[in-house]
Amino acid sequence: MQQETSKPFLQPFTVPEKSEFDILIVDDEFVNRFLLKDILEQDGYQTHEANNGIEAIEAAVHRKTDLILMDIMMPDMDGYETCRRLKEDPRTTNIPVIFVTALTDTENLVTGFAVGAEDYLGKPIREGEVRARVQTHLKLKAAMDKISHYNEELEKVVAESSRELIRTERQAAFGQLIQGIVHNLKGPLTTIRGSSQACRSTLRMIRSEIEQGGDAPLPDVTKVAKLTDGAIKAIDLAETASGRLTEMINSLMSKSSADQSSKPERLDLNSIIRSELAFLEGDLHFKHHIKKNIDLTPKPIPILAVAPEIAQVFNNMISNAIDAMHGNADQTISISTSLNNHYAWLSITDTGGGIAPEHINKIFDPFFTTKPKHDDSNPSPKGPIGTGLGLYMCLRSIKALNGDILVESQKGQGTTFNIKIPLAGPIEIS
Amino acid sequence: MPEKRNYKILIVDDDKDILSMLEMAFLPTDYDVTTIDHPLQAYKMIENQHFDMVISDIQMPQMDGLTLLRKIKNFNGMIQVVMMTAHITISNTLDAFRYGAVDIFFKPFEDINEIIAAADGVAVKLNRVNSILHKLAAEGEK
Repeated sequence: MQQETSKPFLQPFTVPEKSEFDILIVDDEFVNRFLLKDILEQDGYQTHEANNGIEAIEAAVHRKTDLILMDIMMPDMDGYETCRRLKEDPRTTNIPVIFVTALTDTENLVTGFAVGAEDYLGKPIREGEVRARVQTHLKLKAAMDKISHYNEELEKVVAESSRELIRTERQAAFGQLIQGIVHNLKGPLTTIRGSSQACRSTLRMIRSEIEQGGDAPLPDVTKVAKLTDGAIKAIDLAETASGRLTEMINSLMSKSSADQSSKPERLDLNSIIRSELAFLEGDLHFKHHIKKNIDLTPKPIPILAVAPEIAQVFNNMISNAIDAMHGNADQTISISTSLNNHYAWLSITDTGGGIAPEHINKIFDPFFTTKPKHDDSNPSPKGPIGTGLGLYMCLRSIKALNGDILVESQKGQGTTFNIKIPLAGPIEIS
Repeated sequence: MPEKRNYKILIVDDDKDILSMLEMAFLPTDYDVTTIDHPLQAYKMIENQHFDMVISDIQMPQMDGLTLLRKIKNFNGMIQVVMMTAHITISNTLDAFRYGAVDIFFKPFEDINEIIAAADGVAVKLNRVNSILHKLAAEGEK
């Protein structure tokens, strides 16, 4: 993917020009508003005004507001109530509020801070103090805005590099799977080829039995019948095996075309799981050494999702389960689906060592892993390795569908992941 | 001693179709062929019944064919084992011979008759060795 890598998203922090800030002044007294407005505009700020609490909330919601200077004693809705409402509303919660008040006794100040105000200015107002406090809070607000912007950008960058890393990991795993798939295709191919050759040999024997004449007056009918039955059986075997081969190729084709889609579609969760399991059979360890208990609902489970993303979540969960059971005597994965309260539930349980209590709250964090990471300090790790991004990306994909992933685990007792995804419309009765 | 060709062969593979196919291929021969799709059961059968030859796959669940080969050779070195595999690697091939296999075939087989030819080769060897063993046993009894 082409990225604008040259443009750093972390630009040095600078406080914007004063004229870029817009301050809301709230007071029922025109004179008080005028005084503050005059000081602030002389200083270079933009201002707007409200003469009561209701208007103040309106203005803060609908007009860009960087700071609020507010009187406390106002009719109808006082400054405390107005401030409380502003702080409750996510649209205005980050706007700093400074009370302008004559009530500077401790009790009133405490109430002011309790409703969420950042600071206060005593009345009568002193010009220098107004300038200093306003400047401090605007600077603070600008820094806070920048930090939250950084966080958003960081989140995006982490998500993108995670996707990149996972893609690389998946490609490596895919290479291995291809080998396994080819191995699986060789089974029916061996049967087809061998049966055809055996059939030819048998037919030749039948022919020589019939042609021999001379010494033996009549062909051995019992022998010919036995050989003919054998030849028919060989042909049946070749036919069955070619059916198996076709099925394998079809499932590969449907998986590869499902992997191409990038838009949310109405999908059957059970079909995705079945097709992924068929694909995973290409992994010889999974095929031969892992016991599987599969219990899917008989009816399809409609969800609205991007097929390869669900497949990736499922794959990730399965490979985590396999890694968790590395070296265990009993390696069993139980996979089941169910419907409950407008949600599709997918449950994956392993018989691994479980998750330590001190880790259970961290497993979805990016870069958290208990497996060794594959890097320069660890060029040839033994056993499963991890990037710490698998579960993080899984949770992101599922949350994007308004679903969730819940984990139940006790050290030594194995782990169950329950994935819930909203159902897409009513279940079709087929 | 007359040429003996009805040796008992056990064929082991987790793919039942391949077992049926091999059974078919051996149909026109005089060998007494038994098939089994599970290596652990295969080993039990080898312990409890007489087999002269085993033809075994390598990649199988529960126990791989190379482990089965070692167990067979430990149990009775006279049992002749032919390996087959779709997992064609140098280590599989060298290990098969190191642990005492007489031959190894790669899937899909070039020609199924080569496996019958391998069994025939083993039969010739067994005829020769067995006749000597019989002679020695008879002399020892005197």
